Amino acid sequence: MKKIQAITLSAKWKERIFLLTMMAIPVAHFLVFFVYINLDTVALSFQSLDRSPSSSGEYIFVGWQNYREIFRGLTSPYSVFTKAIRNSLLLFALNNFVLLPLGILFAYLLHRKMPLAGAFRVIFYLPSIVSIVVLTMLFSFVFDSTNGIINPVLERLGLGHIIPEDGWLRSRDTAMKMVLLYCFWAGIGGNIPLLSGAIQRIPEELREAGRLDGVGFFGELWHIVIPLIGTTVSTLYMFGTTVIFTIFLQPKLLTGGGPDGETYTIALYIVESIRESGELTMGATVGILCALIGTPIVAITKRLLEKIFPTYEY
Amino acid sequence: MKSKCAKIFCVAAAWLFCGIFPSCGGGSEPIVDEKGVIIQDNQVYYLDPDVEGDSLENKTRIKITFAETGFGRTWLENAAKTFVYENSEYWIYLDGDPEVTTGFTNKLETGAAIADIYMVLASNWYDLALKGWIEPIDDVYDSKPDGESGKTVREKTDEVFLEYSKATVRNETKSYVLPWNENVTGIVYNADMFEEYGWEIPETMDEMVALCNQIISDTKGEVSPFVYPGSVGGYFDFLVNNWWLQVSGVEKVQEFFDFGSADVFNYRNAEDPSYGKLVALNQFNRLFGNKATGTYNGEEYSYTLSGSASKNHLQAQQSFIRGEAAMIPNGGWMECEMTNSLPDGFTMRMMRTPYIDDVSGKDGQEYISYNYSAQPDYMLIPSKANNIEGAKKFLSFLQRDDILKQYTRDTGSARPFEYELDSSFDYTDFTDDCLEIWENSDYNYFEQSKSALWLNGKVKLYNTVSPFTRIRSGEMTPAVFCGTEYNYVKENWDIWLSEIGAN
Repeated sequence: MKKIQAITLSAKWKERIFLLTMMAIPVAHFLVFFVYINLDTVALSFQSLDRSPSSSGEYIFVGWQNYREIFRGLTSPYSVFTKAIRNSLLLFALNNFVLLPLGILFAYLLHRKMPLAGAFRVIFYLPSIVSIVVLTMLFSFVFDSTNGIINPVLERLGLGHIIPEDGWLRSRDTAMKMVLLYCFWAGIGGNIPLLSGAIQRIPEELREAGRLDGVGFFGELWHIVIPLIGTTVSTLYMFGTTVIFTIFLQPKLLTGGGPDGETYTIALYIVESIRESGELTMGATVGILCALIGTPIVAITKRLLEKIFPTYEY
Repeated sequence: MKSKCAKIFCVAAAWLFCGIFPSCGGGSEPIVDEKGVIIQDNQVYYLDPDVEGDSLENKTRIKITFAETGFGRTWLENAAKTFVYENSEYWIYLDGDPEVTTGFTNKLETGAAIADIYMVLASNWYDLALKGWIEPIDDVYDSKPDGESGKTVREKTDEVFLEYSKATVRNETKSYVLPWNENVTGIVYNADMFEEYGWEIPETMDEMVALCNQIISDTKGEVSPFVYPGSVGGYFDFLVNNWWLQVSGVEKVQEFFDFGSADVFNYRNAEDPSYGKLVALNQFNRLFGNKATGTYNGEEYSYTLSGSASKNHLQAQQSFIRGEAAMIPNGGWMECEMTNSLPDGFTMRMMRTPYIDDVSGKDGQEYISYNYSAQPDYMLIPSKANNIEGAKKFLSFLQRDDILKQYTRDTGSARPFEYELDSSFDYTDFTDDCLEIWENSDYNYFEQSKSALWLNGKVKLYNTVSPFTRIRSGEMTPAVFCGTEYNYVKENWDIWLSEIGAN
């Protein structure tokens, strides 16, 4: 009987096999869900479904047609896409120039143990941990024309004339304002935990030194706190910038993009164009354009923020 | 000590799992009908007592995923019960999903957890046929569900719907879908309120406007004549498309939907296809525009309930049921849809869309009656279905006379096939009204188009902006909307043609 000789591997090979095994899943994940999907998206943006009678439903190369169509849409007075860009920029401004500064202020106030700080901590943070579906429903109910509590209150106050005939969420004048109001309400607490954590890490002696030099409440905030939490502020600002291309659930759940496309965002436009037509090509084209425009914006913003908020060791 | 703790933990965990999970997946009690057909956990099956050891394992499954919305599931359960009783080699799994229409295409593409039959709401199936994801069903259309002496499904199918079922793929034209229902649309009204105040059902638009004023004055402005679901599209089409048909007739409206040239959007002369669209939007303006108001005690009241624009269909229907409004534009499914919310004794009925006074019946002619049935919901078999043969057999069976009659009894709605209604059955007043409109309309019509511009999404029924929003707010008159739209379409027509490779 032939003796089977056991295969022995050198330690080096064992290490290689171990590393390969460990790497296989993340690498496969990266290749499939990043490399393949992105390459496929680029390819799709140059294709369109062939609907001719002789077609068998394949996607055909159409050159720059999808891109031309989007640019043509941008110049059309009836384009939903133009409204989507406007609204996405508004939400970006709300996030970075309203919610972020307010977040810093409130986090600082909470840290300074303002009266009822504990209660305010819960009030600010609660909307951030409740499901967006529940929050949007709640918000819609509050402003509902029949059962909502806002309209009767306004009527009692003699402000019935400002209630829109078509309802707050369906009037062309108020719908986007309501989406912004919702984002303000639901988003104001979102930054506070991170900012509070950053403020707490500031050494007490630095603030004491400031106070000894006669720095007041706002002076301390401006000259000591904000520079020292600069990296956190930069990160939050970067997140706030990406909403230009990512935010869609809020208008989707509140208004469905209506009325008349008034509350569309770029991301909602992509989602709806795929959902409505069942076709991926226009969504892919908008996605590629967003990446082309967004990547340099994010990169430049990051550079600028690094200059404005240098990292301090403490 | 450590191992003891581990043991205790394991026992506790096992106990917890055994305790919790069986109670989660408990399953329902079987319901057995008089023939012995069993319904349990969405499964419909018949164990034949004459077959020894008959069990589910010996049978082939037909899985049906259907949009469980307005018409509910009773009709399908009843059809499935009859089918499995007569074809005991099959059992049926009924998977009701109100949102199936938005998600089923992914399943058609991947074949994962796929059903054998999908019954979905009105949507674009043409691309699915092009991509080869759905099975041609000409053999279903050629089958004879009523037996060899009966008619084929094709012969029983309404011509308009037969045309709708066809798509041309690789130069071959085949039927791919089976229409589910033929809707009746119009105006649903609160019959109790009408009786209480002695309001007459209006036949013409002038009478309708007079009625709206009367409702406001009789109820001292407390009841609005109309509520509508403004956050859900399509409900105004039920009225506006009907008026358009009254003005232009089926041929002109179909000429519009064939999109032969940009001139189908011309609205200036009575012969132009879009002239009727303009007149119809004017009628819309009379009832729903910002000047559509009546007065009581010197105060103006809108014909529509405030905030209607922000209501979805269920909220609007609830407002109607609560008596906040006397009428609502809706369809034959509404009674079925609201069954569980109707207060005891509440009676709703359906009236025909009013005739435009000086159009349909001019020169002493009879009014031509139309029912705008809206795009149909439909049934299809995926190419990757596991049981195509069983699925085809079931689809053919659904067109059997007795099953069609059963459908109407269960849903109060008709299917677009040739069959006699069950006159002995005690339908509700609402269903009676709907069936009367369906049977006695000169034309039942819905829009369909095989135009490449339409299929590619370049042209729509309304282009530029939503006319309903702008007309309601007073920002645009119907004429301004039609003019703007015509100019926009003319400017872009050649570009669109070149984009779809037709220029």
